[in-house]
Amino acid sequence: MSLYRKTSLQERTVLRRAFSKWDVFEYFKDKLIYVRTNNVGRKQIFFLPSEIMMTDKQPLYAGLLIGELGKQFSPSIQMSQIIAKEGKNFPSIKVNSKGETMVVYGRDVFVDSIIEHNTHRENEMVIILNQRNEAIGIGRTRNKSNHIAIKGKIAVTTIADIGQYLREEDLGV
Amino acid sequence: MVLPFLFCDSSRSLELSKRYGYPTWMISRFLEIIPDTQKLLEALASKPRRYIRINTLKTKVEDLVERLLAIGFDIKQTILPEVFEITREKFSLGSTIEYLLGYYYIQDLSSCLAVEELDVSAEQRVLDMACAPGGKTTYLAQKMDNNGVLIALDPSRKRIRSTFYNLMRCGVRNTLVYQMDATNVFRLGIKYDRVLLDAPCSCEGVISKDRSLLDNHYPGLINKCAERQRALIRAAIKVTKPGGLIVYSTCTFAPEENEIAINSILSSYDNIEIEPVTNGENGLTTFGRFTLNPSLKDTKRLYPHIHGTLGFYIAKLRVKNVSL
Repeated sequence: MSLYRKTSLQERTVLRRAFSKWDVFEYFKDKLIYVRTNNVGRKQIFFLPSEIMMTDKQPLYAGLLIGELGKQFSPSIQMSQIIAKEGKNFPSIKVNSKGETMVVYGRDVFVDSIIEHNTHRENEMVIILNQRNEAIGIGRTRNKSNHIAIKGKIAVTTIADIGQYLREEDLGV
Repeated sequence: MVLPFLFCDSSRSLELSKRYGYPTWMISRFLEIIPDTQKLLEALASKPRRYIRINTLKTKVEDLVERLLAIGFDIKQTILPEVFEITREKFSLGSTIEYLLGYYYIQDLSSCLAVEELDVSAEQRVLDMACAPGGKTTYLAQKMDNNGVLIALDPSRKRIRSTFYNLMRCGVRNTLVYQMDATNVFRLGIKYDRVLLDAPCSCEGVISKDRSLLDNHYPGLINKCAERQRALIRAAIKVTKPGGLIVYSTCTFAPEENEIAINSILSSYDNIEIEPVTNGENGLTTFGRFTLNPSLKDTKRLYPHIHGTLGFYIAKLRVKNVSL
């Protein structure tokens, strides 16, 4: 049975650091955050409006799933959309329409599809934006940004995207 | 009371039954209660109209309309400002980037009208007693501007998974989802300002979407659904605050699941009164040998051949403030 609970001091520290990295620290300053450990032992982080209250009986889901917490915080697709809307300076790549189609099918991002990027580190988590600056996925950089100009190479591995659930549903996952 | 009420077959019912492939008992009942039954059967034989509800939690109506027109959809405004009929689909509505981003929900106008009638606002406690797959729940959250508290129930864990996906896709955060039989909702110990009961039903109104429903339709099913629906309405009344509102809806034409169910509630409770629903044909006040409470005319029926929606029924019940 998975229970919702408030975050511990240690968890709050990791989350604050992550919110700061994703440039949404101010946005989440007064927000109510709950943790739930799911069936496979992963800590899921949920964002609820402050008015909401928990009854004695625990819900199966409450609020918006914004990510998972291990040693670090991994944002969910919903969180990436909040970041894209509220944040100004966060690690991201922007892809063209061909890249957008690839990402929503769960495919990795090739260098040729990238229009803009502001990431300079290898193995860094980035928000994948389309040309309208909407978050369509989350990825991880494969190369340093100064290598990102090599055509035909995969630059970012897609780790989550907005089409994921529908694909899983089609496969009966 | 023996339910459902069956009528004698007539030459007309036999003819329509043969032509449209329905059981005769169904047609005989339709002929008693539905205006222009043949037009209804024709409408049920064709593809239903497609509607989308724009999710204003994530986008603006005018922005999405512009985007959809630009990618080749033709759309038409309905009586609700955020609901549009799709008159031309360039590609599947459920596979656009805009859909995946949660900018709209594919939802029949009739469902949206039920939510509209509940008249929810941002500070209320609202209950959705049968939430899966989340269409009405996400619309309620939208109407509440993601504030207040929305409690959503469904007994099936599998169906809750798709509800959860839709809640996430639409950016809903004011909702608590419980896996629960709604007849036990009192166990949560919460009283609600608004309750939506879109009751599980025999689904006669959605045959145009799924013709196989006809294969599993039999008179006893109506009886079974009607019993369950009464239990659900009683459960809804139990948790509604005095002065609160319940919207009861089904997607069936069967009076036993609609007016007769509400009629039995009106007979059992002094503190319940019907409030008028805005859109649709008046509810029945007679059916076969039954004479029903006259206020049931204020409940409404939506028909595919008249209103361009799926077949639907909406009743609005006000829980009166009882002064001691």
